[in-house]
Amino acid sequence: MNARKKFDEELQALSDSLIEMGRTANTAIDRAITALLTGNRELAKQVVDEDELMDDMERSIEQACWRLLLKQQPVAGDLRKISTASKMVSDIERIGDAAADIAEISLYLTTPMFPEIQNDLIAMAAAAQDMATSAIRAYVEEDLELAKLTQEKDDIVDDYFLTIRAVLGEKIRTDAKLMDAALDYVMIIKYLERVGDHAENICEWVEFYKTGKRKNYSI
Amino acid sequence: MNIISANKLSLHYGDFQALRDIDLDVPAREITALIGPSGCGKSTFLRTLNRMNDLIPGVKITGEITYHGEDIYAPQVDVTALRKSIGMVFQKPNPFPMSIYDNISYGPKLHASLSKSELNDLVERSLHGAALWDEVKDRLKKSALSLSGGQQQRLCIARALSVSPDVLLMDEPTSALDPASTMKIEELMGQLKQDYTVIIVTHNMQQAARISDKTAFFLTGDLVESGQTDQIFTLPRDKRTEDYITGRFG
Repeated sequence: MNARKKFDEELQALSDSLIEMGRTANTAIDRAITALLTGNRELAKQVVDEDELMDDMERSIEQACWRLLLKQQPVAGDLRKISTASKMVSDIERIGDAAADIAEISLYLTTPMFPEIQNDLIAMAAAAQDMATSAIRAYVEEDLELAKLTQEKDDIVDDYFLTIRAVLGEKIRTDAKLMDAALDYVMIIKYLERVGDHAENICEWVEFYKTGKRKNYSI
Repeated sequence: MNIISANKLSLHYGDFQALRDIDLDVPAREITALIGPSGCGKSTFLRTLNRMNDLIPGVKITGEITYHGEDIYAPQVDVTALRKSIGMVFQKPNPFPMSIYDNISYGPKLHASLSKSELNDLVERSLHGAALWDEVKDRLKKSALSLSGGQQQRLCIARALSVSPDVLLMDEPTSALDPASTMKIEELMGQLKQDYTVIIVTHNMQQAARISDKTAFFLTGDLVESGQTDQIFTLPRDKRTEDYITGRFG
């Protein structure tokens, strides 16, 4: 087979596995949030168990990147595609980790959700989830506009984080017995906030792939 | 600062147009790489810079090449002096069949009358300049043909340096060398650019990316794109450049 054609197929395979991993991370975060909000322990356990799969995917994508760097010494669009993949894979894996961490906490939650934070937490989870889905879609569709829009949504997630954290802080100050439960929810919103950050990073990598620039610096 | 500029340069070999309206500035004391598939005109362009193409019958050149602001194709230009200032190193090492010492001293002796000790100094300085001195200082009277390919190529660079040029043209200077010798020449080029302007034709994309500051991509006689090497190899503007450097054609 023509060497360039083979290289193109390997690049396509790299993209395909990244897309598959992105979808797996999206599913994990969807399930973790559903498990948390519905108290579905079976689902939470499944998310925790499946995190290992994401770790395997990360390793295999990293190896594919290294192999291509070694064998092809890529330049231009090829170089941008492979460097993007090797950085993005960590952010996707971290989204998977956050999902597993949320699921794990929800397995051991003993106190029902504080009603004061319920609506905000549902909205925050939806916003973080939406960011993760849109970030992966921006990569799949190479959509720079969507990547930019998605990055802007991080402020919404961050605002929810601050609002909910303030309520939980107040809970702890007024009743020390609520400390453990409140801390669990603080952890959960912190993980959701991290999902937003990683989605934002993915969008920045999409930007780098398309424009050669990331946060105004280039190779 | 640009030391050489091509303005609307075209070149015909008889009816065949080998270069079409080339505009390219070459910055002083930088390495400029000329890349492109075989037959794209990059070596032809390199040879126009010290008028090597004058030697080929049927060549017609229009447009202008300036060196320090002066048109090198103007009638009053002394071509020998031009080639002394703009030296050349070829793909295949081509030492003269004489001693290492004589290879270096041959050119300077043609241009000036120098004393024995002045010549000795010049030979040593040129060999140092080409990072060859330590390897040959004890056998200067030995035949240049006894050197390895990589050493011969550095000898040719030393020979080019011996007449105090300020530009060095290199036409695929490492394509006949093994990786270790190639690396030595590349290291040398990095040192040379502190004092000289280097223009190199190379088929090795990684070499262009590694050593050059500026890259110009030629295709079928046109200059498709030129720019900072980092930009060309990470975000080329023209799809033809991207296709060539990523091996999609050529």
